[in-house]
Amino acid sequence: MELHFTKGSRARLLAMAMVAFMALFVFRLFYLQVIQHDYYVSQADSEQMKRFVLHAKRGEIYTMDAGTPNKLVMNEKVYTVWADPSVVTDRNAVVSALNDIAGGNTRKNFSQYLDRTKTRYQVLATKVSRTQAEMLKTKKLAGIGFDEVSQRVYPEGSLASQLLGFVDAEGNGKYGFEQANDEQLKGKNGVLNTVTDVRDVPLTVGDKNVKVAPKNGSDIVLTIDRNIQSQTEKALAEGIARSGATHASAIVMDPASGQVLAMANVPTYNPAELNQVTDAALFNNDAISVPYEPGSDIKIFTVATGVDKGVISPDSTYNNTDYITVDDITISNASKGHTGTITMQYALNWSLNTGMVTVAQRLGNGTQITRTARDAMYEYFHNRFRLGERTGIELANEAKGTIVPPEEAEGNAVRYSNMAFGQGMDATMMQVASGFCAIVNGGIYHTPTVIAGTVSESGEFKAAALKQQFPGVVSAATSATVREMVHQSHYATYKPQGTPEGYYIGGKTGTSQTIEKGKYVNDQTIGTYLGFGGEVGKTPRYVIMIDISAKGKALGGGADAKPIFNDISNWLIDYLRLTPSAT
Amino acid sequence: MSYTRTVQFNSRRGGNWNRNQNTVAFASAVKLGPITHTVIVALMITVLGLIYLTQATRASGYDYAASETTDKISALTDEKKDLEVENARLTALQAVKTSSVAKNMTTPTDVQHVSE
Repeated sequence: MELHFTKGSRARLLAMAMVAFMALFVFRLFYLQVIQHDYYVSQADSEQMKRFVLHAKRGEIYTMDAGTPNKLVMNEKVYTVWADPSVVTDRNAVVSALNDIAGGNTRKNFSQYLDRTKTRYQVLATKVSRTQAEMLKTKKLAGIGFDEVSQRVYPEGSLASQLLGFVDAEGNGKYGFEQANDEQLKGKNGVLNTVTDVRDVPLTVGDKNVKVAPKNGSDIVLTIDRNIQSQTEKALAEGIARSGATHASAIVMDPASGQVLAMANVPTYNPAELNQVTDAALFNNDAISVPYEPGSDIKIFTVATGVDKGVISPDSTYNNTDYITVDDITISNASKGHTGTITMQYALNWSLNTGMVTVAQRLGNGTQITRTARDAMYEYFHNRFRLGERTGIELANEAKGTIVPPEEAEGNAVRYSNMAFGQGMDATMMQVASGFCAIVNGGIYHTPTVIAGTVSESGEFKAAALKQQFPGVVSAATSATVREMVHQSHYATYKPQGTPEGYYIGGKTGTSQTIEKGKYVNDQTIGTYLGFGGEVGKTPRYVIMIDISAKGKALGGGADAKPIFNDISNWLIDYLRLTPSAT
Repeated sequence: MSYTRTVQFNSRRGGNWNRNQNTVAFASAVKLGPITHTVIVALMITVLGLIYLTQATRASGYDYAASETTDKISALTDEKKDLEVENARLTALQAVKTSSVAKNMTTPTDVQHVSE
C-alpha cells in the first residue's frame, strides 16, 4: 500500500516531521551503540565486573620427629576490628561488646578513638580470633568492621626461632628459613574477574569471567627434630647458667646425610611476640651468620690432612719443646709441660699447637711450611672441607668466612702455621660441623640441609632430592684413623661424666682467643666442642658442635662447652635408641 | 441434522496433475495480513526473550546457592584450621611437659639395654 500526501498538505508536513524525529533517534542510537560502543562497555564493566585476589596460603613448616612430620609453624586467620566513628550510633554498646568479647585484644583506651567522628577508620582491636569476631558480628553494631588477616602461629613458642625467622606485616619472610625460602612458601595469588551483583556475589552471566586459581605455598618438612631441638636448647640454657656465659650456639647433624637435626642459639626470642624484641641481633642465627676463628677444633682438620697425605699417623712422633718458630715468630702451646718426644695422638689429646705446626711443616719439606704445604692445606681446608665458603644451607644470611689462599701475600707460612691450630682464618660453625661430618663419616662431604621434604595437599610426605655430595674428601682409611684419634681425645682430658659405656663417642675441645683492639687476648675466649657419637664399629649417628662465649669472660672448650656436648650426646644415645656394644 | 460446510475443497482432478500430488488443496478461510504477521513475529521474539531471561535468572539463582555453599566450606575450613592450631598447642612439648600425666612420671632407676 502506498501513501500519497497532497503536496504541501499538513499531513505531509507531519509525516516529514515524524521521519526527521525518528531519524534523530536512529542517529542517536547509532552514536551510542556503535560509535560509543567501547566506552559504554567499559563503563558497564567497571560497574559490574569485580576483580578479586584469591590469596595463596603460605606454606606451613614441619619438623621431622623420629620420621614423623609435625607442624611447627602454622597459619591462623585473625581479625582487626575497626570502627567508622561517623557511623557508630551506639558508642556504649560498642565499648561494652569489645570489652566483654575481645578485652585482651583491644588497643589501650580504645574508646577514645570512637570520639574521632571526623575520621572514617579507627582500629579498635587486633588479632581477634575468628570465634571472637563471630560473636561480635552477632551484635550487629553499626559502624564496626572486620579486616581478615592471616598470621603465623608457633605452637612451640620460641623453639628454633632463629632458624625459622618470621613473617612481617606485608607477608614477607624475614631472616632464617622464612626469608631464604620465601618464594616457595609464599605460593602465587590467583585472581577472579567476574560479574557481580550489588552484594559482590560473583555471577556466572557474561563471557568475561576469568578465574586463575591460587597456587598455595609448599608445606615444607625440616630435617629438624623437635625433640632434639628442644633438648639442645635446654642444654644450652643450662650451660649458660652454669658458666655465667651470655651466648651459646649448637648444631646437631646427621653425618651420614648432612641433615641438620637441631640448630639453636641462646638467648633467643619468641616470633609470636616480635614487639617485645628490643635487640635486633636476636634475630641472627649465629651458627651460620657469624664467622669466627674456630681455634683448636681445626686441629682435627689438620690431623686429617696430614694422615690423608701420608705424612703422619697417630703414632708419629716429634720433639715437643712447647715452642716452635716459623719465620720470624715463635708459637707456643697453651698447655705447657708435655715436652719431649710425643706422638701426634698425644699432641691432639692435649691440643698442642706445636704438634699441628709440625704437621704443616711435614706437608712441606719437613722443617718449613713451604708453598707445597700451603697448597695442600688450602686444598683440604678450603676445597675439600669447604671452610671459608658458604655451605648453601637453605637459611638466610649465611656468612662466607675467610681462608686466605697461598698465592696471596698474606697466605704466607706464618698464617698457615696459625691456621694449623685454627687461627688466622674465619669459618662459621656450620662450615666446621659440615667439614667434620665428612672427616668422620668415611670421607663424603654432604652439603648440609634443613629440608627433609614436602607434604602434599593430601598429607603425604615426599622426601626432598638429595643435595650434592662430594666423595673422597679423605679416604675411608683416613676417616677411620682420625675418628679413632678423636675418640681417644674425647676421653683423654676433661673426662666426660655420666656417659653410658658401650658407645663410640669422640670429640675435641676448642678455646679460641678473641681479638680486642687488634690483638689476641686470653681473658676473653670462646669455648667450643666438636664431637660425634654412635655405636661401636659403625658410622657415627650424630655430630654435635657447641660454642659458648661472653663478653670479657674466658670460657674454655673443656670446662664450658664439653659439658653441654655431653648433656646432648647422652640424651641422644637414648633418644636414637643406640645399641651398646657387648664389650 | 444438517450442517454447513465451512471448508472448501477444490478438486484438482480437472486440471493438470501428476502422481504423488495432492488431489485436494486446502485453503484457509482466515487471511492474515502483513500487520498481523509483524505482530506475531514480534510476539515470538518477545516469548524467546522471556525464555532467555528466565534461564539467565535461574543461572544466577544457582550462583547464589554456589556462593552460600562456598561460604559454608570456607567457614568449616576455618573451623578445622582453628582446631588444628588448638591441637598443636595442646600437644606442644611445653604443654606435654607440664601435663598432669608428665608430672606423675618417675625417672627409671635402672636401664638395661638389649644387645642383639
